[in-house]
Amino acid sequence: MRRAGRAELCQGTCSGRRSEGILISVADGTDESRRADTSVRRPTSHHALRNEGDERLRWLRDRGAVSSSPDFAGRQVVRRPDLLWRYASGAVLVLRPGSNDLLELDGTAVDLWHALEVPRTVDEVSSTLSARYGAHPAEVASDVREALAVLTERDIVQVVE
Amino acid sequence: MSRPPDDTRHTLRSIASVGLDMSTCLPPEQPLTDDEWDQILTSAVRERITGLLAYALDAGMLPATEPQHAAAHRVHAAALRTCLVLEDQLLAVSAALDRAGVDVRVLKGPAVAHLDYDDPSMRTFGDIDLLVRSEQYDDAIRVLVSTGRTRRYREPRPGFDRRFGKGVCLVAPSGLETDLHRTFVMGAYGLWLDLEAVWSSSETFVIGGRQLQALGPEGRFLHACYHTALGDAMPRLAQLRDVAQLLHRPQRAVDIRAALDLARAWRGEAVLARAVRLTWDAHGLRDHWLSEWANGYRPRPLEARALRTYLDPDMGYAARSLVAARAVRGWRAKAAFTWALAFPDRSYGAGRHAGRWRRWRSALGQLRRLHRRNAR
Repeated sequence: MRRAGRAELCQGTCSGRRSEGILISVADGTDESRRADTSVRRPTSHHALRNEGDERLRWLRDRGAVSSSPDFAGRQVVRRPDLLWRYASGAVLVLRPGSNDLLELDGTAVDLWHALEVPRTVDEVSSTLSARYGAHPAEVASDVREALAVLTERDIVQVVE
Repeated sequence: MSRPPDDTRHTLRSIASVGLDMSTCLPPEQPLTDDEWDQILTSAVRERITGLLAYALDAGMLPATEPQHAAAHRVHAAALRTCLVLEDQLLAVSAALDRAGVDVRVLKGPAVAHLDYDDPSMRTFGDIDLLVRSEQYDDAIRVLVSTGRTRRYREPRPGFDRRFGKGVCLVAPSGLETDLHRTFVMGAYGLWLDLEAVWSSSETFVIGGRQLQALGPEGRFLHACYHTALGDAMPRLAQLRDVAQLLHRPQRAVDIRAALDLARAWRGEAVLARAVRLTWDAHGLRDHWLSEWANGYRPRPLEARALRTYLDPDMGYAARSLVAARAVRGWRAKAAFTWALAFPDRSYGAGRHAGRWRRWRSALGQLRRLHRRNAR
């Protein structure tokens, strides 16, 4: 398990900077995409946006990772029940049925995956993760929202209506 | 398939045996050299035991350097990706068959991975195998062909597969294969099976939120034995582990005596005995009444002749079919079986034989060798 670091969401093969906070990484699972994804890594300049969640979401939207910002306020989220997945030594590989959209959840994203087995609000998920990693709930909530935005966009997680 | 050196083979066997209480096969105490590790990884992929390798590493049962650990997890993740893609195909195929009212039992990899191992990640697989009823066999093929899949080989004559065949391999445009089975194996042992009994029990498992049916525990155990004993001259370690795993599982354990009774009714005792002997040998399992029975079992002459047609490298389809003709019930059916194989449609055998005459010559050669070996 990666040690607690600053919350960050990665699209592609994020190497994961080890700063303060927790790291929530979401990587495409195929070898081909792993190679290709080095080109969609966030540029160095993203460091300037680290504490501005909206800016980061905009950055992801610009690159097609997120098309819109789902509103999670007060709503429960849960992983889709029809996903195909496997544990792979500390990571989770996820495939959406009928797609080639293979994701690899690593590090704290695995804890997020566990937390989403049953419907929970962002606050509930955040408090679980912050208790586990000893990080501030508000910081964790921001990162959880970002991760959920990507997972919702990829149709891995759904908002319970 | 080339056999790895003895040390590598021993390490592979110990990896394939992790978590089996009955096993005396212990992993090495020191990390292997990088060259040895490369051999282990290559063989683990071929033997489909990368899940057990990852389990052994994560549990600290197998010493390895950090780079070796990382390399093992890479190959295992690649194997798991294949499993997920195959499960996606399984869901699509089973949904199409379900819509057409075709009953299906999932065989081998996905079924045992989800039902018989603590974590399905421990059992990887490379294709999808489904069992369908004889009376629905042609419908099942029609459904899969309508989804864009094509038969790998044609049947000798129309209706042959439904009456006498083991199954057919259907290839999707993506190249992924689905094996549609009517019985466990081709030849006499497949025809001796009581398919009503095979279908009489089942167990449910869930993939991607969808319920699927596998054979019951005894059926899965016997199918694993048939596959291990008759499938390949040197069965994969994953197949051998399946046999051991089905005996090892603590809940809903296989009723070994019931399985033995079924094997006896199907004239499959020699198959069961061979699978048990191979499994005990591969995993170094401690003695058990079943292994003592297997070691003491002496096949009857017809069983021995049938077994020879599967195991002798000089034997093939023709030799197996000659013995299988005796297993076909009824004179009219025997005649239809023999006629179809002796005088198949012109398109049959395309790609496997250079022509009809070559096919006949190859068959006659096999039958001569079978006769000589039986006479001995």
